[in-house]
Amino acid sequence: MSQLAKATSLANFGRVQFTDVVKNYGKIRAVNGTTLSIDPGQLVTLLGPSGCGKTTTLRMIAGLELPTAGRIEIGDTDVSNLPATYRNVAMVFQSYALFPHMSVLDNVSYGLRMTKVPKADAYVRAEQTLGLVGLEGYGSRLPSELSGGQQQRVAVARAVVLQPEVLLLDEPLSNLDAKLRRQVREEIRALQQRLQVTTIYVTHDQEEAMAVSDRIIVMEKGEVAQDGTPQDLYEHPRSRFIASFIGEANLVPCSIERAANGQCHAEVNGVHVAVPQTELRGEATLVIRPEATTLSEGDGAGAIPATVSSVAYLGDRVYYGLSSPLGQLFHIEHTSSVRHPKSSDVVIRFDAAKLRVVK
Amino acid sequence: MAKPLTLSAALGLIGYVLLPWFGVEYGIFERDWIDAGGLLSPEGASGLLQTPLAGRFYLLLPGAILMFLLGFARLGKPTAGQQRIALGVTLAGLLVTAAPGFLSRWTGLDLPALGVIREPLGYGAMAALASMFFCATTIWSKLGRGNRDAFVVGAIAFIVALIGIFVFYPLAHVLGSAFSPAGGRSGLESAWHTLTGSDLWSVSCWFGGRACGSAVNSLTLGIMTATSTTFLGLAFALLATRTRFPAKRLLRALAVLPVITPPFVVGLALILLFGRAGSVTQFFADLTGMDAGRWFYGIWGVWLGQTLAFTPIAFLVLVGVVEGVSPSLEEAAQTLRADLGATMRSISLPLFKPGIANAFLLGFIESLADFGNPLVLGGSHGVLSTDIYFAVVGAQADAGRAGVLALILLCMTLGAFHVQRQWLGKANYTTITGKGDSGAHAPLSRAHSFLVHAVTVPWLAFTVIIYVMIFYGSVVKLWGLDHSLTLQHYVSAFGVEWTERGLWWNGRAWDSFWTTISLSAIAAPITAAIGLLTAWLLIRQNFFGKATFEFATMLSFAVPGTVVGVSYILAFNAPPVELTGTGIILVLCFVFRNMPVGVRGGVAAMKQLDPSLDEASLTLGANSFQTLRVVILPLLRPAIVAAIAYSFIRAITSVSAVIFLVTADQNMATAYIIGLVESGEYGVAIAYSSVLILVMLVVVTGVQLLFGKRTLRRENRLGQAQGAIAPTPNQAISEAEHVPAR
Repeated sequence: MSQLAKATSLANFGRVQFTDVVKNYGKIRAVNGTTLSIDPGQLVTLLGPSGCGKTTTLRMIAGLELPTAGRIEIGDTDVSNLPATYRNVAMVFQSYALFPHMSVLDNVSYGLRMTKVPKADAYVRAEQTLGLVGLEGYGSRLPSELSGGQQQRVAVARAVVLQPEVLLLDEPLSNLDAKLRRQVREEIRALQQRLQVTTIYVTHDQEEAMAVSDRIIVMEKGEVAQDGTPQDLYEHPRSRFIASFIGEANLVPCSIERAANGQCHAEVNGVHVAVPQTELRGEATLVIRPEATTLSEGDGAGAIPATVSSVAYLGDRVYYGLSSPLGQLFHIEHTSSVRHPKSSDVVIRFDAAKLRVVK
Repeated sequence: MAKPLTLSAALGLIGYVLLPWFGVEYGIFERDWIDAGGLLSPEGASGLLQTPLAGRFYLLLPGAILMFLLGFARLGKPTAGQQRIALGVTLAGLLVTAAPGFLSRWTGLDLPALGVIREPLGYGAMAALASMFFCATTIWSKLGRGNRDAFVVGAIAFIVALIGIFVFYPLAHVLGSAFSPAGGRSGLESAWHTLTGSDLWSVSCWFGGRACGSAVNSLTLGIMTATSTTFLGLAFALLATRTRFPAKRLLRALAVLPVITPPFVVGLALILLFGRAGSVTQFFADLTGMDAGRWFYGIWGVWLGQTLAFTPIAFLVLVGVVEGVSPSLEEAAQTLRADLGATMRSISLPLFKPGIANAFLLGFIESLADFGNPLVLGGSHGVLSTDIYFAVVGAQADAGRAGVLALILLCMTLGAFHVQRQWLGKANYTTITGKGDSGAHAPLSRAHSFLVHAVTVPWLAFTVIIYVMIFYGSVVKLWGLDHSLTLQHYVSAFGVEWTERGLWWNGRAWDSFWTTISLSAIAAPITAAIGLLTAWLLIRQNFFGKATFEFATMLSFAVPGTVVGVSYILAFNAPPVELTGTGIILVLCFVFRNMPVGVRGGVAAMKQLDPSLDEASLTLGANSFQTLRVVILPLLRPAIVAAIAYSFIRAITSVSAVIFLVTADQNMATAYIIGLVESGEYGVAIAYSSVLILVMLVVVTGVQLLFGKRTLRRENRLGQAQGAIAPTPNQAISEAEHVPAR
């Protein structure tokens, strides 16, 4: 284990730094010059549609892929060319990748045994870790004798037992059903908080990302599209892509004008909508989140007339489709009754402070 | 890097000091060379002692290089420059150790002072060469970027070297032999003379002439056999999957039979029926009063024999294809108003087409490569494979002619192999998506069902009769004349007598029987190991030239056995690698003939293992060798057992290559049986064959019973963590059966 990444100074333990990292598969560029930095102890999500390079990024941190160019550091060590075996990271796989021919205890102690921890110690630590994920007494079972959720916890235990510098999770919830998903993601978050381990989490589900992350890195086409806290991303999307990917929004093409009084306006089909201050001019996209709109009957100044074109009742909320001069819009009302039947005429009001304009 | 390097260099040094550098007569396991002085005689001296004893100073060099490597291994952290120098030195050492022998062989030069001499290399030289080889790969693996694992690099280089030495090097000698001057002609002229001879290409028999050329015969027979086996194979595949035929398990069982039947045994049974003294021949002779004579021997007899022998292979290929077509396509056709007959014609058959072409080419290759049936049933009707044999062992002993014929045969099979691979690459409609594809295959229409039954049921009955004949023939005194039952053939072959000195194995077959079993048992695990290692490299590693690597590993399947046999005696009958007459050459021949089986079995099994299992192991701190040993191999156990069993069986049943390589000392069962057939002792030959079939049946069923049902699930609840169920041995065997088909 001479090549094992050397111990790092305490302050930087668990830091991950990408500098201009490129990964090519033949002629296809999966990751395109990414630079990012992840602080120790944070839970950071790599989020993006499939094929955006998030899994490749994760695998480069694990050492399962080596970058074509650029520099990857974990802690204070340059690990760019260090294979997975010698890195102090651990990964939870999407398929869990539990070794089917080994008992749960053998699975969890595997990494310790491979790194020459005495067998007895390895088993004791594995047992303890199983306790940590609530699976005491399951050590002698085969993975196939566990439920999906239990298998998932074994996979987590197998990774954290090594006390890795960085914990990687590759879509850890995708094989669980919807109800279990919420519970397990909370468990993962709680465990991460307790162990204070730097955790990098890949998912394509933005709700999951928002729920667990300290920080979200949204990727698109092999590049970082935006990087920030969940609230940042939701409230200040930097592009049309982010606005549509994080949360729900009406995206309306518009052109931005600045009035004499310094107030900015978005112009859509001759309708002017007041928007917050922006540097953008000309062609842009108006982002209208559902909470920025209110529907009412009758008319008034600054209100935009519309017709309800569809109504979907979902119990705790109601989706309205609206035909308006701005085009087709939708609006969500968090009430449990339909106040505007289909084909009724309504007016839309915008809360200018909540509107956003992106390129 | 110190550890593997030290180990490798140290082992090489031990060999250099303690093992005879050159080959010793009768091998080092016999006492002769020790009696002759052992390491202290000039003949048996180790590399180190060659200098004082035989004055061969150049042999100090390999020792010096091994010492250098040992020293280099002790450097804690060598710089890249130092590593490059060490690599260069090691490669130079490999070259100066290996090259002189080959130089002498190819150029005829004789420069004793430089080691350019005609002496076979011995165990000492092999150890030194292997040691330097692995040192070189280890050092090289450290020169590149991170993922170059020493074990992986070593394994790739090792496989490449083996294939080079034991597949391509012999084939190069066939080429050399084909173009060697003979009978006052230059090499090119003599090759051209043989190549254009009318004994190869005459088509006079089509126009009432006496005999066609053997190349024409081979091609004709190949097309006939391919057509009949494909047709029957498709009929059986449809019978097994699209009808309510009651004995489907029997079909599967019969499909395994050719695997455990030595290739000419079916021919023997046919002789019992249709030969001169055959039951059917006699029956009609009595009826008509004519002497039928040898009517059966010739192209029709061989065709029937081959059709019987190879139909199951076509069946196995086509069953996969017929089952592989997505049922929803057929259901869609039915919802679109196509009746069952129209569905078959418009949807199913067109989708089978690539598979059918595949089975056809496979039958063609098998027929061309077949040696046993033409030898036993061909009569005066020579085909290329038998002509090659007679060119080598016959009165003419014409290595040049054998070389040319082998090249022609090789071109034909490689051509078919190439076409098959091309085809497969472009058109493959079978849908294996991993998604559950619900729905049921459309049954056959009444007319089609009738047709399929009419073809298959009589043929099935015929096949069963043939196999009954094999056992019946072995207990009949003298076929055709005296049909009283007797065990004398078994006694003659496998008699054991109790004498004062203990058991006396006085049966004639014992010698060749034990040789066969032991050599096959040695070859089987080696074959499986090399095959699975190759499969692992192909599936789990990415490296430069992987496609070529894969092609090279599969190539030896397309090389007909007779060509392998010829190439081995041409290549290994002279120094520096002299192996003819030993058991080693037989083992090597088995290993490299059957390696593709292990590769395919391993590839099929490994494709079912979720790659994230490997990755999980790597991220948990195991290196690639540990991962292979602790995670992959245990999961592949059924595939490993299947590969070993199958290699064992194929080694026992092989004839075509073996017949060139056997000697009186190292005789193999199949070659011995062919000898019995040639001297007309059908009774003993069949008795011996049936014992072989029984032995192999025991192996196959034993494997099936021990490992067949064993899976990793204790219950049938397949979670995602469980993406890793290796196939059962029999699946793997049937997988392996269509090797060339993929």
